[in-house]
Amino acid sequence: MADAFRPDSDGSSVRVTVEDRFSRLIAKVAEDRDRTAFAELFDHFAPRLKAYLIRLGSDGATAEELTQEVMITLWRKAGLFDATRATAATWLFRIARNRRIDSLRRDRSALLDAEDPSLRPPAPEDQDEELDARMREERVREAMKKLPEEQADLIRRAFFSGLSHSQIAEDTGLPLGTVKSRIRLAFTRLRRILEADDAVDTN
Amino acid sequence: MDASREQFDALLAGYVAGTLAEPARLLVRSHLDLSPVNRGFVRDLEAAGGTMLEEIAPARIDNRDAMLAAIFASPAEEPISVPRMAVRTRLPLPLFDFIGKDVADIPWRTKLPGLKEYKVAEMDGCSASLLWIRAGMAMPSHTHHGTELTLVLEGGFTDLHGHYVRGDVAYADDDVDHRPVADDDEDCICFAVTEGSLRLTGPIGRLFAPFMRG
Repeated sequence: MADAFRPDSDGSSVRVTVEDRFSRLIAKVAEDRDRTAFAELFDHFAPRLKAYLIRLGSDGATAEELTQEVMITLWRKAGLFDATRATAATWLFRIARNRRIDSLRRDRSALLDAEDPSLRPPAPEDQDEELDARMREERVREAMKKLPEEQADLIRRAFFSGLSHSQIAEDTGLPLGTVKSRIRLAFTRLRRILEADDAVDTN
Repeated sequence: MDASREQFDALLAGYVAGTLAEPARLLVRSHLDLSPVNRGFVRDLEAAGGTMLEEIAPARIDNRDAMLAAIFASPAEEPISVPRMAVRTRLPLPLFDFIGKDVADIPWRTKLPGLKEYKVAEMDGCSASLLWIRAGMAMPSHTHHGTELTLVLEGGFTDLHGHYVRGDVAYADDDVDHRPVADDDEDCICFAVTEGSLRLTGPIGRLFAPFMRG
């Protein structure tokens, strides 16, 4: 799938520029405690993180509180961000996910958990298998496009909307058992597409 | 088996989405720690999470200026966390941290001759145990009320689906009558998470069943 990595008309090259910008801003926060840079990151990501947390079921106030914790992590741990391993959005997604779990588990003491893998340098043995973050993201976008729309839609709903299977069944009018098996099938299919890409890449 | 592979892919997706019951999450983290097989797929799904975060319709932040002020007033630097000393354990680190002891210090209880168990936790409607199975021992034939995930920590075992070694996860559905047999050259230690009858109905993140919160 050589085409997968070529900038295309839907703005991949624009995205690369944006990612470069985020990486530079995070570096400024890390190196200079640059408040203007941080505010720009905040204005881009905080509203998205809040929306994500609301979709997963938090009320507005809780979502904003968790967003604040994620942004504090960014402020304090910017030096641990590695643009080759994750894009800013993926890194913050992981931190938000983990913060949300910690808060559900009520483990407030885990704030800024040093053991959080997204806040740790990779083990040396992991580095070989690292795919460049942007390549990975582009590859995943392409793989999602190759899925039949129905499956891509189910993945988005199941993965990112916080909808239960029964809610999805209600929304789509499909029987519950069908929803479950189709979601499983969709993830496996996505995986096969990604792995087929890997096989091509290594040749 | 395709069905269990599909189940496991969906479980990995639940891990990435952050919706697994805690014992299942612990098992997945331990599996990823021991085995590279699914790390790439998990990274891919996390990248998908990142792209979806980029594409979501933003929500309004009510207290922007106050939030920024609070962040800037917070201590800029955390004490540099000392890289953890190389812990001499064969347990995957997430599991070692959770249990708080190494294999040699586990207070096993004998269930049957050749089978010992240590209950790790009952939470989120799942029970989590360490199992020690003597080399060559056949487990009693059993079916499950719910789904059972078994991560091999030491040794290996075979059931009707295949052979599992350190880092592998066997996924057994309630309708599977499975009869694992430990390899005969080494005792087998596993971390098993079983979905119980109790189901939580937390406010958040009810995605997949089983093993998912909700």
